Amino acid sequence: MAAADNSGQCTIAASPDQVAPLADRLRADIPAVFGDDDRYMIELGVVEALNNIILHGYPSHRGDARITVSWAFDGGSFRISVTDNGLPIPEGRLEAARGQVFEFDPEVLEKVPEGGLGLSIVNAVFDDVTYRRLGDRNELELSKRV
Amino acid sequence: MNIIDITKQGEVAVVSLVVRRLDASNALAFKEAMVARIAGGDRRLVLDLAGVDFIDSSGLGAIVSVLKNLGGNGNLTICNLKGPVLNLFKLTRMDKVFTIVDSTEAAVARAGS
Repeated sequence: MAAADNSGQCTIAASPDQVAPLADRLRADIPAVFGDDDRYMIELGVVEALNNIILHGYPSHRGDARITVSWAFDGGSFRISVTDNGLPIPEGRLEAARGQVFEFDPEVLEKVPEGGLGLSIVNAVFDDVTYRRLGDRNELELSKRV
Repeated sequence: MNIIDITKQGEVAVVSLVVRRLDASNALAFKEAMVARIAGGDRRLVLDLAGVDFIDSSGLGAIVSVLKNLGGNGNLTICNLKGPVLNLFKLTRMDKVFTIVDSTEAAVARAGS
């Protein structure tokens, strides 16, 4: 079983209903050393990354759109790699998402965001977030230290 | 797809989710079901998240949208959040936006007052 060594890989069609089954498999492999809160945040960060790819990377819902997620634990960090061949993340978007989206005024309801939190959550959850465009592929590397 | 169960306690509609995850696959259905209830006259709402293990930012956005839909005429109180889900509210500062209480009884009392 993949769960024994906390590593695994899963390829899904780029569709919202495919995310939860992948998340179930991922969650089973997140080491218990992280505790419930961090385990939730790791799952959340990956789900947000996948949602972002499905929404923005494949806006025309190509039938052949696939996303591959692989993960492994090296004793110090849980590392997740997300690859797809959709549109690239626009330059600077990931950096721009670092934090400030949560700095809204909670007293002004109209200003409270209903969307656009995904990449900020990815940045907040993981210790390292690295994005590369390799030819026609996107590769997002995420890692969370114990 | 039926996504919510509603029980009335006096003027207060207590809404429970019948799914364990509120995410990009069902957030719109949730929002539409809630907005339909609001349009039907339920404006004192309790959202009981006892059965919910996971919410992502789409789900969170849908709950924000419900609050905005009330437009200041009514209220929405959230109760029975599991610890990790509450952490999502804190991370995104949504714990400052919503009234969050520990129990259904406290939520109904708050919503009905």
